[in-house]
Amino acid sequence: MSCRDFQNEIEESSALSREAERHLEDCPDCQRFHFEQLRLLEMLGGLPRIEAPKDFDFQLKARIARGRPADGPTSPLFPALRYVLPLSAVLILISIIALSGLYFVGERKVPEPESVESKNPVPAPTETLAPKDETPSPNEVAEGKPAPENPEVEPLVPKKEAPEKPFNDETARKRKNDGGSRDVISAPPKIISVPDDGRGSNVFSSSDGRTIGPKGTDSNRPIPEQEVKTTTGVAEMLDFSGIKAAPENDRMTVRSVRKNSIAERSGVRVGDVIEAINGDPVTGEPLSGRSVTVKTLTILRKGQRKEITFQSQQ
Amino acid sequence: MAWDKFENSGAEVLQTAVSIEDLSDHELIESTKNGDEDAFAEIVNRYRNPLTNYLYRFLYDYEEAVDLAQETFVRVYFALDRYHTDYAFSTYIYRIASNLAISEIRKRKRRKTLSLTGLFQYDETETKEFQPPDERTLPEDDLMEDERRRVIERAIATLPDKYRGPIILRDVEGKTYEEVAEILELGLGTTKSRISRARRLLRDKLEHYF
Repeated sequence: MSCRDFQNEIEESSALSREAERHLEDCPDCQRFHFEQLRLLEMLGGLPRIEAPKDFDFQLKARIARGRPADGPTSPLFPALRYVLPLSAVLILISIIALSGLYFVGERKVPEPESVESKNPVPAPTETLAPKDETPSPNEVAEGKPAPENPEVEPLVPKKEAPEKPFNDETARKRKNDGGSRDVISAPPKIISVPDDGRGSNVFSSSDGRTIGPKGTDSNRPIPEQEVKTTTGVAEMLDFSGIKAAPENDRMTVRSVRKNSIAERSGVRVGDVIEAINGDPVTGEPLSGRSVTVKTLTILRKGQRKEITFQSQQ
Repeated sequence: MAWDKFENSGAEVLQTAVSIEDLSDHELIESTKNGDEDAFAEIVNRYRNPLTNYLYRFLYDYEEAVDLAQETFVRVYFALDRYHTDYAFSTYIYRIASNLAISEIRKRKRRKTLSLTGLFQYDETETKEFQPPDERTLPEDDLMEDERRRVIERAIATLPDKYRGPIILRDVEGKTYEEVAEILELGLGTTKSRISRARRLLRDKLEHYF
């Protein structure tokens, strides 16, 4: 008998066969293995028995009483509810997350500065607040009005304009065409004056004779201060609110309303004649006050005067 | 089934106890199925201590062992209809207890609430374990025996999970190889191999006590 056979034998039974006993007498390794095996079994078998506590039956009875389905506040629907309720909770949670996601996506989405009337792509401004070029709307085309000049081909030479030029169609069109481009100044010019036009807009004059104006204005055009105030005030305020307006028969008339703008939500329509902004009549003069926010508009629609209060976004 | 009968008092229990003790496990289960709560009480009486001992050796945590022993009986009680007499009831109940113990160990590993290193690893300085309070001054031999017992318990507890169950069932509980294989749902060869391997590991851990 080999040592391996012997060890296998005493692994399974402490009672040795006659052959194993003969091997054990002659093999010191197996003698040691046998001794350790018996000692180990003695130690394991000699461990004290751990008993259950005295209140084991009482606790068990209580657990069975608690766990008995017939005694519990259960109903035939209970097994189904076990799955339906968590499933419903998960579905509700997913719905809330999805709706929240849609809401925030909608909040972040900047409304396209697409005019209600204008469908043609306008090449100029890169920022939403920059005044856009006036393109003829389908209505205007139908009325036979001339399309404004292309700002890209307009030379950047100073225009000769009378400072006290009356507020009319031509002035407004030129003003619109001047906007929409922003100069890239290689070296920052020295700013020599910071005039406050009273409307919160910054128009700076540089040392090289150029005017650094708000985005969308032509900084190279040396427009007299008075004209800047007169021509940009009303149109800029209206543009901030999404209204493109131009003088028509010496009356500021709404040409287009930007989609999803506060003006559109508040009910401003194309063709409305703007008589007053925030209570100040539109006369071609710059509006008083520093606020550029349109809060109320007094309009004339189909011969009826109407006051529109702008609704804040919800 | 009226569980209230489980704790009947007085002469009624005394009268029925004699006959119940003579019944086999299968007969007790059948009686319990027929509504005899005393029969189930006898089942509990037969197996509560062996199960508690087995689970304590497995988990090395007395409270947990008692809890799982009770849980074993609860599961047996509510699954009587699914019990088949194809194999011994002791195999059936030990299998439930083993599965609960293995699940508990897995939960512990996941939760890592109880420090497995502190609880199951062999550490001579470790003294935290279940110890009934004993204010007596022990003689030196008793102290040494007590220390050796604790070392053996820790050595078992530090065995890998797959070796712990087989060696406890075989060498502590005294089950046969076949019973161990049935309880743990292992092949006979695998069972023998694991027991042999567990003994070798224990011999290495306890070499100072040979």
